[in-house]
Amino acid sequence: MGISKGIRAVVLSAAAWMAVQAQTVVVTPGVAAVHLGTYLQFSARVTGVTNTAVAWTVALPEGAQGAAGSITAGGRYSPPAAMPSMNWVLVTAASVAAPAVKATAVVTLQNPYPAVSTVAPASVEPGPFTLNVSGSGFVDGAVVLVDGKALATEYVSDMLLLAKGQATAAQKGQRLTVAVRNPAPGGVVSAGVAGVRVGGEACENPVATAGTAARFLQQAAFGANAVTVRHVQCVGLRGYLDEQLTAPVSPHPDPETTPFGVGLVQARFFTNAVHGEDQLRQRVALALGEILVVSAVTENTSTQLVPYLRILQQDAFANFRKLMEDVTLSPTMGEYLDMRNNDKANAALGTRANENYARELLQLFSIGLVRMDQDGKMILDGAGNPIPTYDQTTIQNFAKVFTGWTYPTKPGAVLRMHNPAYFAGPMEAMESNHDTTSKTLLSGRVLPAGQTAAKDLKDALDNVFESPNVGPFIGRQLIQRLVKSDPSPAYVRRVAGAFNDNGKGVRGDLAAVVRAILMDEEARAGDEETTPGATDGKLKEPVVLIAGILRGLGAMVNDTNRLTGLGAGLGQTIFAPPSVFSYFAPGYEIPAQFTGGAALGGPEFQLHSPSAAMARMNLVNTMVYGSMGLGAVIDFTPLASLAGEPQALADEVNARFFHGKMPVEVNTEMRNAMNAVTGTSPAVLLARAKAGLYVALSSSYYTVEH
Amino acid sequence: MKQTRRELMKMAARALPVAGAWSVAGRLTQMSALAACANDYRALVCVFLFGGNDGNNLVVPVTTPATNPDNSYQSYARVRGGLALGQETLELIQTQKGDTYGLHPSLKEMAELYTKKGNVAVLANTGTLVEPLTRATYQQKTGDLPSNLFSHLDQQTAWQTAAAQGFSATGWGGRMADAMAECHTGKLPMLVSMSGNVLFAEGAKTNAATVTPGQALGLQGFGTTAAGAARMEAVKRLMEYSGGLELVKSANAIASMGLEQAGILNDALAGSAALKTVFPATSLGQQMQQIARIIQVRGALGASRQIFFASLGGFDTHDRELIDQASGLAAVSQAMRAFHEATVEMGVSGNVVTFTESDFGRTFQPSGGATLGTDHAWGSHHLIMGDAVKGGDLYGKFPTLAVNGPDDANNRGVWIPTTSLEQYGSTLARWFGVPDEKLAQVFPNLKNFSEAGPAFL
Repeated sequence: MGISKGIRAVVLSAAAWMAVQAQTVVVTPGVAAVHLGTYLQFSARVTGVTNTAVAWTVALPEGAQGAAGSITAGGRYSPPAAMPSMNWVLVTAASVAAPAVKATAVVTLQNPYPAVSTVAPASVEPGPFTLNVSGSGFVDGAVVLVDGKALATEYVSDMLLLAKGQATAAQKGQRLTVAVRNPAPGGVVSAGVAGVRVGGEACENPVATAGTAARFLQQAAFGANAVTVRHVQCVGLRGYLDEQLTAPVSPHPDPETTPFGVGLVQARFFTNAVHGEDQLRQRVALALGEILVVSAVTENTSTQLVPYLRILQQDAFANFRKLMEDVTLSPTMGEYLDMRNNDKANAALGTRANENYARELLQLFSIGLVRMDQDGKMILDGAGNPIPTYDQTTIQNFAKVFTGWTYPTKPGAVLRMHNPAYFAGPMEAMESNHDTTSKTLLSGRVLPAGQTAAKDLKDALDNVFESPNVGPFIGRQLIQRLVKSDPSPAYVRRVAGAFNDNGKGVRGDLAAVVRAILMDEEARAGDEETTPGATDGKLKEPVVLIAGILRGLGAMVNDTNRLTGLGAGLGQTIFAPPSVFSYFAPGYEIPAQFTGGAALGGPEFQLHSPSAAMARMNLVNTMVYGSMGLGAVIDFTPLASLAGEPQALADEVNARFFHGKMPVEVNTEMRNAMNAVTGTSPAVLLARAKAGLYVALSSSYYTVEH
Repeated sequence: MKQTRRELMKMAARALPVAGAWSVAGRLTQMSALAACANDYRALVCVFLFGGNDGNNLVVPVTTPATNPDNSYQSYARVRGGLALGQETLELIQTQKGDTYGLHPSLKEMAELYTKKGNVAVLANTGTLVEPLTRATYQQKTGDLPSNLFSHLDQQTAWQTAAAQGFSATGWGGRMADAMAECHTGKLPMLVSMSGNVLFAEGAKTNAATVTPGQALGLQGFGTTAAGAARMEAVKRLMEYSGGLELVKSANAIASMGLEQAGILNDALAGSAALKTVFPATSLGQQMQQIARIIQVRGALGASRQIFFASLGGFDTHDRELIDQASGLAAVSQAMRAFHEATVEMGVSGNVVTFTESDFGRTFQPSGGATLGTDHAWGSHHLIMGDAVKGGDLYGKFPTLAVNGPDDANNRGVWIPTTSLEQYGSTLARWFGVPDEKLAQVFPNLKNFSEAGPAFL
């Protein structure tokens, strides 16, 4: 008791001593304006005292309702999420030594900067239309501008606006620019997005039939829709591929501007899958993400996840060697597979280099466990045994290569052995933590002692990349993701050939690999008069199934969608596979009792248990009969208008979902279910259309694409 | 990879001294027509810990047993360093010989069942093996080694197939059901998985039912109208149509089975009152609750023998091990305890045995990093629970906890198993009712081991 009293007395007397000095506090800036969703840095100068520390506070003016925002100990002010009833706040710095001495700045709050990410639909016909404009920073009273003209706008949320407008016949063929203007105070117009095309495309001499175009789009896109089918008919399959290689990238939400959860990143996947113009890039990025796996199960913030997804997206058509390096140095991957802060062996602590990334890089991301021919078949030794590509010693050597790396250094900070978590940019090397002993890698390649972390890493990735296994190992899996579960050895060999040499002597060109996969005769078997082989095709993976149904039905999807949960119910939570082994194994075989005893490969079938098959049909029930909320809205009226004539509706479903090759058996059962819905009222027509749709879309003949 | 699987099957068959012992021909051999079918009820429940649970922190030596003169808490803590569990935090258990070990602090419920009721047993250093191995025969490769040790996928598969030397199209749960097929009377398959398709539950002539806890059983949205009935008929007829495409045919077979199994389960569960036992609201808790509900209606299902599969992920603790393993094991301990209480409530606690599996153990020596973890290893410790279990004891041989020691396969404390998965399984299978003469078709490598399975049942 006595001691603490004494201390208090000392403090009081010190404060009293300081108070008699001529003290002042000056806050800079003294008057300022700041947009919600951004921040403002203040500084304070304290005179007349040795302790120049200040305590920052922020408050609303008297009588105002709402939140004032927050200010850090360093004077960084973040406005509140929503505008208070009066649009200004008071930021105060008080001397810590003498709290009575303080200064206050007046800060005017302005509405956030709006940003448009996607606009749906991608095209409208002349006449009235409704646009779903997704983005961020929208406030009530915001207006959608199309080619500068304000439309009647309904505010749904800070991420979604609905706007009604009218397109004229004179605008046919044009692309309209969409922007958003927030109201005062501080009303700002967003950057424009050139998105909406007026009038569907039509060409004099189509170079592909609608059926071939639609079938191609289930492989090269998330499924067919009327606009894209017409476009592919006009430009041809190769023409579409060429366009897709350079199509503008559909963005992931940007965690640097405003913080948000992984849920938005997942929702954006579906928005982009349904409406994005870079369909092939997204399909390939999804496929690559299922091979070079990072999972939101642990990388569970947008700050962690989005930079990695951007790598997959940006490198989808790049060189595989670049992808390997970008993935290896990604701090998100570093965290997921423990390459960040991977310390060299420490005798004092009794620790060794972490083997996790080394092992999965070899086993899953590049060469696999056993040596294979260019057609993907295992090479056997003289005794008939497979030949391992590496052993435990190789893993320990690669583990040493991958020591010394840490998170990127935050702006303004200094590189340390273990930087704090930070995900912008590649990992950085701390040479003193890198194992500089020599390493023996694949094919006996020896990295000499004394190399830098970066040089070791580059040499090791070159060593892996040069393995003849990479082409067939990666090529076969990409075929499985885009075209079919069980490609012939000859198909794998052709694709591996494209990996090994793109025709210009370049190894690893993913654009050439994707083109080889999609234009291969085996991928095209099923077009026109050709028929698929008996074991062709693949079970649609859940997220592709969901996006495909939405595209075919012309759904309006925006970032408020809850489609992630629908995929999760079928075992595929987008961007969150259960482990580094992804959602399913490339070598998975369907249990023999479901194949009549035959060995039949089908990776997606690993998720497809008897109860999961029920869940898949119930998903179709939800999409056709249920409601998915405002984030994914299907307008069934065009189909209902056809339901007076069941055959007309069956024809339309055939064109949209069966690329013109619906078997008579599916057609018959669709009509049987529709004919049992009797009457002529609009409600009956709608119910009839839905009955037909459910039967078609829940069938195995649809859910297995071929 | 069709080709791959076939070739490996051939290879695996060749690797066995007696060709055909578990080949397709061997599996299909007619079973003894006079197999005795007991008329009691028995169930096995496999709880698979995906990722490779670190056995070194599951069971920790506290005293120095006569059989492990080099083991002590100090020898453990010296190598484990920052990963060592505090001695005072351990849940202490005693073996019948009087040695003291500590269970992970998250296994409070398991320790209580071990000590107070003797309903839990510990099995030490068990793993995938083709034949017994020593440090010398492993390192000189003179022994027959399991293939692809340390790879998650391969070792998860090997734990489910009991085919350590290669691939197998069937799992040992499925082969047990095959071996007991004559005695299976139920409407549902003998095997029921809470984790979708798992190889453990696939037999040559037995398939598994699957249930996804939390999801509706069967098809929704048909109502009771004539139009709904007509649509259901259309859907069922399309389940017969494949257009000559094999994958469509398979998808149809799976959907038909799903519809049939859901109908059977819905009928059996209708009108049965919920159990009083409260289960944790975790994934594993919900799976164990679903299993208990199916056991509850075993009469309506007509089942006398059932095998269940449940699982939990998150045990691949390359870093953050102290945090992640603690939460994972707490989920296991609490869900298993609730399940045990439910079997007591149903009066079948003597008829149900629950046991753990996992990909592999983890290196005794930690891996470097900001937060410590461990890498993939081999032999590990496991838990077995049930009134029939001779619990309150530790079975098998505890390894010598020394890096480069006699039990270390390499140089990081990677324990060479001293009990094979197949010995472990054979004890469970015998109790379940698989006759001795059929054990070889369930466990192809069992004949390579002279010692019988550990006597925890």
